[in-house]
Amino acid sequence: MVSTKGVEKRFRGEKGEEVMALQGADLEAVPGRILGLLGVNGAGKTTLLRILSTVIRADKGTATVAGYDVATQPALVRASIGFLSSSTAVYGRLTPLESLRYFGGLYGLSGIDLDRRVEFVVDRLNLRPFQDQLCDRLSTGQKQRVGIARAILHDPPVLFFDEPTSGLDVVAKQGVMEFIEEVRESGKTVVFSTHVMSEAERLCDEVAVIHEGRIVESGVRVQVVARTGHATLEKAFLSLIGYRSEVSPR
Amino acid sequence: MNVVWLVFRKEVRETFRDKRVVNGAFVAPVFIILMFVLVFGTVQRSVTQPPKPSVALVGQAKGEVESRLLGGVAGKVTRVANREEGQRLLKEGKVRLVVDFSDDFTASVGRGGAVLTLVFDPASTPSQIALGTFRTAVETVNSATVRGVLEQTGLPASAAEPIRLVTLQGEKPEGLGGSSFAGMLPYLIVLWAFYGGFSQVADLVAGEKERGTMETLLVSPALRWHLALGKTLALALTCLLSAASSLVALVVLGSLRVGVTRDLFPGGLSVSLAGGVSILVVLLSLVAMFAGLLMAVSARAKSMREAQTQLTLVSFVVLMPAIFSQFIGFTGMEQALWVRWTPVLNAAVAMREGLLDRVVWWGVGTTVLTGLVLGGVFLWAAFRQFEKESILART
Repeated sequence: MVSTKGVEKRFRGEKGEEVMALQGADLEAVPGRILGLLGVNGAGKTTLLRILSTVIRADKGTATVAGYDVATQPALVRASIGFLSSSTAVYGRLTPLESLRYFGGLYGLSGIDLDRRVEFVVDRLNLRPFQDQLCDRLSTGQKQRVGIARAILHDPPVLFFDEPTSGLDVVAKQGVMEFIEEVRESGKTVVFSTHVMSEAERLCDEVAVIHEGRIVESGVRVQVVARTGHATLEKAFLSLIGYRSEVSPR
Repeated sequence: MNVVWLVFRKEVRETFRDKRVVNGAFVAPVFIILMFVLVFGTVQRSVTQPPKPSVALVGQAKGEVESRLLGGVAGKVTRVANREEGQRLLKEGKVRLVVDFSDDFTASVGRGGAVLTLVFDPASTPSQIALGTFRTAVETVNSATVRGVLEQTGLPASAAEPIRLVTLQGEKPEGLGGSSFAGMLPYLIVLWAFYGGFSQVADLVAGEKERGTMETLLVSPALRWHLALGKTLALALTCLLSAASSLVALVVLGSLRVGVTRDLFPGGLSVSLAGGVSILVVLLSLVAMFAGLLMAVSARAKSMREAQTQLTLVSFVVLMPAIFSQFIGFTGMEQALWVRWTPVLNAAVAMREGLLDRVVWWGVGTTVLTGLVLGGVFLWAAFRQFEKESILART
């Protein structure tokens, strides 16, 4: 459902120098399973998700989402994906209902179809108690639920979550994680980026470790951990990115 | 086009819920117009109907002519012992003039030896106005005295005035024609057409990038130029309503016909149909140009702060011609070809002509053409920014 081959992306740095953000990225995500993109900040996770969601274009390589090529069929790709970023990203001066109806319209929904889908996500994410309040007045957790509702409103087969629990309290975080698990059960393809290993350990069936723009390891999570010889994903991850303690031993 | 309408409607809804934009784009113009009307009305009244000046009178006004002059022209009269004391009051701003009649002034008038000494403050405009008032009064007395003498000697009174000057007023100005405010109003309209949008635009694109909502738009199937067009139309509406709110405030204040507004708009506030149509057409093209420009600049910025900094710089360039438009009436250059092709300046000039019911249609044409062409270029530039990943993905 999601596949990349040899994807590369360069950016211009602040001083005009070329920065390789992503090189030779190969990965595959399939329906009913969650692929975790694991990496430290700046590793290239968001760049890869932006390429997959057609916000930016790859310089080299190919990528397909839901069977559509991101470079040549961007409109079809966009119609097939839901995207949730780390920022809660809601319109503060719109109510959750207004936001959902707006995005429903952007995704081509209208009339009864739109009403039905809005009702569905409002109930599914339990937005009813605050559906008519301006989003500015909602808690961070409530805003993130609105964001999730927006991402699944058009019932996309593929979902990208870019550090969706960042900044959430423990209760809100739990809600998001449970929702992602539910999504997997419904047979959708999920790509989940995070640098929190406990979340990856709980959610991800497969992982791809990205470091300095390269995918250094990928595969079924338990196999990846086993290959490194460590007991936990966190230790496996640290060894894969070549981490050395910055604290001198006594 | 459904997406354009969706985006437009959503942006308008958000705009009217944003107190910062409502205050900046719709309340501020009304407040500024109120202030302008009060200040201009007060200034106009003090120039056209100056109060009788307070004077310092050296000694006493003993005769009939002195009393008549003082009674007709002077306001409060402060008696002083000598001219020096009067000059001290003049310097302190307590009087506008020092008036010193020569001895036996009234009796001397008929003989031609009467001397009236007036001391004025050259640094004070009210003092100079008071001097002029006294000078006119003295000329009237002089003329009446000469006529009397001529009649007594059997000569015609007209001999006192070998050249009789006749002045006739042309067609009586209607509406804003008689108002000194007519030169200022187009500037204010242009100002608010720009600044109304200024308060909103940083939020429309740069703000969306900053909050992360831009990414949610970009991953939707909506065409990017549809998103840009919907936002630009909403911005244009804000620019238009902001300029219109200053006009509406003016019309409401002018129609009150009380105090300062009566002096400021002696001919009322009526605008002819042709004038109104020309103003509307020019305003629409101006708003199209400003909305495109604001959108193009804002789309390049990665944050609201960067957008506001860049827009502030742009505003100086844009508003220079508008500022010049206030003074162009003194230069006689309104009809110059270059003026008609200079953006913003041509709009201010055309709107002024519309307000005065002196519409120059070819000038309206060049104004609309420049506005629409530049608006189109800026809009195209904004569309390009929406397609550039380096711009849209900047955070």
